[in-house]
Amino acid sequence: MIHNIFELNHISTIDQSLICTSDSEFAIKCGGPQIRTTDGIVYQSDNETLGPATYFVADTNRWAVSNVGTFTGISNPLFKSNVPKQFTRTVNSELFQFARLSASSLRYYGLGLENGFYNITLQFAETAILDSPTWKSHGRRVFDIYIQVFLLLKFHND
Amino acid sequence: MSSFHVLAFKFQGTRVLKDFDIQREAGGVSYRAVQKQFRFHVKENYVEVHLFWAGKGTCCVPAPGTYGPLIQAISATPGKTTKKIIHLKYICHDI
Repeated sequence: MIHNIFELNHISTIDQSLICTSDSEFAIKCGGPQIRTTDGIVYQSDNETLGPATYFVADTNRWAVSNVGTFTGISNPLFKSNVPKQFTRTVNSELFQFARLSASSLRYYGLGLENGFYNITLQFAETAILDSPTWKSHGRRVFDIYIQVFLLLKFHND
Repeated sequence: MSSFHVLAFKFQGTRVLKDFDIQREAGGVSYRAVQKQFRFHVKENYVEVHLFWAGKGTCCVPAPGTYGPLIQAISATPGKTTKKIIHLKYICHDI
């Protein structure tokens, strides 16, 4: 039910963005401040403090994020993390130091996009479950990812 | 600004990654970047990337609350369209 309410909230946001559609790309630095990577992409800040049932629409109205769920055994979750380590297989370690976390359902929306084909790139690195042979390496993080486009079947104008 | 009322809507999309495990994708190594790229077709000026914890994995090791979706960055750029792709019925597929 909570999911549905948030989806409806988003629809009102999305409707406005349909009126001024002009962008054909976006980049989001999930859970951290804006970063410009060596390939010239500016990842916009998604540094908001989200709660267990909150959403946030970027100032630019170009993207939004919605989070639902509470962590078991944590009273004051941040839903983001900062692990100041060096990361491998990338030249942009700072891109991976900040991350967005969710307990259950995390949705990112690209808004006001020109219709057409897009390539979307998702970037991850595990920062909580260690790979060293200690008890801290025995956790496992498993989740599913859906990519959805939204079709308005009917709308009318007041 | 005039207001719209949505009377009906539906989602068209697909699960692109099932039981995704970042560490496993990185060859069992933490602090290693993993990149996943997909192509999709925007029809109504909007796309949703939904990361969903389906109740698998561990909840409390190494610390309570260490589970659920984790992501560092999302970016989208226009993809080249070719007749071949347009004729495909896929909305989204791994590239």
